[in-house]
Amino acid sequence: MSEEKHPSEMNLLQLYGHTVKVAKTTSRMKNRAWYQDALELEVQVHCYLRIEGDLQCFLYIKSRDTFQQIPGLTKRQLRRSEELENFVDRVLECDGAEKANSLGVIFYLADEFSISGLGPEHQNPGEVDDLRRTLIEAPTEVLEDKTVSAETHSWRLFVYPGAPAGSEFATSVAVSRNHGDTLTTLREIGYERNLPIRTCALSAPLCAVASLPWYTTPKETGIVCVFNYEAFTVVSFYNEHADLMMMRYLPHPTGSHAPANIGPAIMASATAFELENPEINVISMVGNDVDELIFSLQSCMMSSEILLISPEEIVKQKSTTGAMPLEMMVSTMDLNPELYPMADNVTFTAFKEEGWHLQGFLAPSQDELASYPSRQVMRLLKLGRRIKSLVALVLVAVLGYTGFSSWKRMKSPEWIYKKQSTETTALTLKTEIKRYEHWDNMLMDRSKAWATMELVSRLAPPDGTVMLKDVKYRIEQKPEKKAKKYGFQKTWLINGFTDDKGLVYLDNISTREGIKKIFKEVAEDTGAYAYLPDVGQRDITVKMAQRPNPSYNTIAPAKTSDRYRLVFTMTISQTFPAADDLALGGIKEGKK
Amino acid sequence: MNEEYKQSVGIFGIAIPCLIMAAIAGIAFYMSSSTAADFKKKKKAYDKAQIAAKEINELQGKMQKISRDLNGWDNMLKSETRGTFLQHWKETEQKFTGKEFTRNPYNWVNYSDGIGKGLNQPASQVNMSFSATYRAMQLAFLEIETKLPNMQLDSLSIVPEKNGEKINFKTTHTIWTLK
Repeated sequence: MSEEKHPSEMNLLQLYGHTVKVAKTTSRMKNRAWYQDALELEVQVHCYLRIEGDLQCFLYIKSRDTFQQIPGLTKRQLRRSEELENFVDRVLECDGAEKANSLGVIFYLADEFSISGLGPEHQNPGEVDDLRRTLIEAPTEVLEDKTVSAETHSWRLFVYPGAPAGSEFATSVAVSRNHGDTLTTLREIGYERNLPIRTCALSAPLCAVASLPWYTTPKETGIVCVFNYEAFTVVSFYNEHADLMMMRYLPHPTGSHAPANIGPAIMASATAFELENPEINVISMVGNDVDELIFSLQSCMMSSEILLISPEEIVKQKSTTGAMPLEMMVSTMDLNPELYPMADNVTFTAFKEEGWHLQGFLAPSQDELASYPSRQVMRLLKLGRRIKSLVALVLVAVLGYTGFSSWKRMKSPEWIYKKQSTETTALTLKTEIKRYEHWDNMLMDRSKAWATMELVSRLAPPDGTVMLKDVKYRIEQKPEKKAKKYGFQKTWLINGFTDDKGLVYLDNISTREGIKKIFKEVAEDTGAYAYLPDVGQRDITVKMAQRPNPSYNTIAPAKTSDRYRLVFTMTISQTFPAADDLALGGIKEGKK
Repeated sequence: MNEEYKQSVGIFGIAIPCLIMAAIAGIAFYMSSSTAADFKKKKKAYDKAQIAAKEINELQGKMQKISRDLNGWDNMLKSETRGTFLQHWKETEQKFTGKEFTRNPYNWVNYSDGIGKGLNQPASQVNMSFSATYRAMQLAFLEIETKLPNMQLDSLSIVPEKNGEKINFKTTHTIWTLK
């Protein structure tokens, strides 16, 4: 990162490129440990920092809940990058840490501590979230002491849930940034190795303050805890419900293991909080001789029960995970409310839920945080990839569908087809067919002499009882309005002679049925379709009139016809309407 | 800073690629719809051609069935003249004796005043008379009218001769012609 432009100077495109590079070259996309707190990781190294002596280091495997002391680091090694790299290597070689995909490094700062009151205008518990944030970003805005430096010290808010009305509801706790570089180096080692090394610097006294439920129970008279460190002593006051009312920071005079006049100081505070004869627990956190301190307390708080608590014994009794400092137990073990009723009070519920005692003091700088995309950004990138994959899938489907459908169209006979003119051929054929239909109509056997003669021949029976005198046949058009064809009428006018027997025959054929029968016989025998009587609306009528033959003479007939008693006239008409198949087509315009 | 990161990923990681892919999809759809429109036109032409081809097939099929008749009629109509008409009668006459069949002079009219009146079809009319037996006359008509289906009888008069041996026939025929 150092060689590249810092993300804060990049434009959006460069920033995107940087994000993609980070996602590709690091495990930030897959390994959520990059964005977890050090105390949440599976493999953790807890380091206890004192003024004198080396760091005490403990490997903590979260899933096993075990502490294992490992070789520590000297103060000098803390400032050397290669030593820290070796330290990381050593940690990762330990049992249980070989396959670690992340490492949490937690510093417990027991070498320094300070408390500073909030300004009088910031005494509103409702502003706690704002105060917490402002103390991290711009501590001078809220502290009473405006000379403090945010450059050299790190400030955190710490609440007093049991503070009586009118008292300070919170204070600010500070530690120097002396060990910030060490933690930065450790994180950089992680960046280089693509191994999330998450760091956290806890204040050992704050963890100690939160340890109360492990070794005592609420007292009606209240409780005072005295946490003795190398260079200072922290005193915490709890009310009858064991809620924290206040903390006091008492520095040790040079060369001393106890603050001067601690007895009067505690007595004054206890009196101020109306704690009469509170139980006093004295805990030597770093193994100091606290006899002098106890003596001072006994001389001032004569009626109070003063107990000397050994943190090692507490750890031994309460934890099966190893012999680590009490603060480490506090930060890693959960309080069971059934075993430790105090865990359910306001103070320890707030500690558990809001982690007041586990606030990290030496957090990465804003610049460092800005160098890498946050977890939300990584998630957004991942989401973006999924969206892109999905859209790409849809695109492939669209391209596939459109491509295939276009290909299918282009391969189809419809696409390849070259337009050919078939109109001329069709027109020629239609003309020919029309011509055929015309001639077929024209040449139909609608009126033929030989068929007409066949009909005439059947009007006289073969026994000679009827004799035909003359026959006239005529065909005439019968135009109909709006018709496209001409119907026509065929008429036969027959004169002849008959005797009585012939008259019976003639009477028979002079009926509609009789004449139709004759026509039908002619049609069947000649194949002349025109004689079929019951086709469409064709009609056949017949009329016959007879009278006595004026030349009738059976004795001496002059002619053959004289032998017949009667003469007759028969008129037969056959009508073909315009709708008949035999009707004549091709009427001239204007004739219709 | 986190917002800038989010913005950059939102713009360059999601929005722009999606827009580009959407644009490609849009172009693909446009091209596809363009080919679909072309295809629709081509298909319309193709379908029309198919229908036309089917129609031609049907017409050709029909034509195959009728062409023989039509050709026969064409030949008949083209070859028949007043001269050949007379020739047909002469040939028919030879099949009968003079007692059976005698054809009298006849006359032509260059139009039809009978069944062909008022039609677009060109026609002539021929008036003929015969003296023949009934059987001979019917056979002669059967032969001639079969040879010349363009003959349509307008009128017929049958009157026996006074001596009763033969019958007088008077006929008027309309004859369809090409011109």
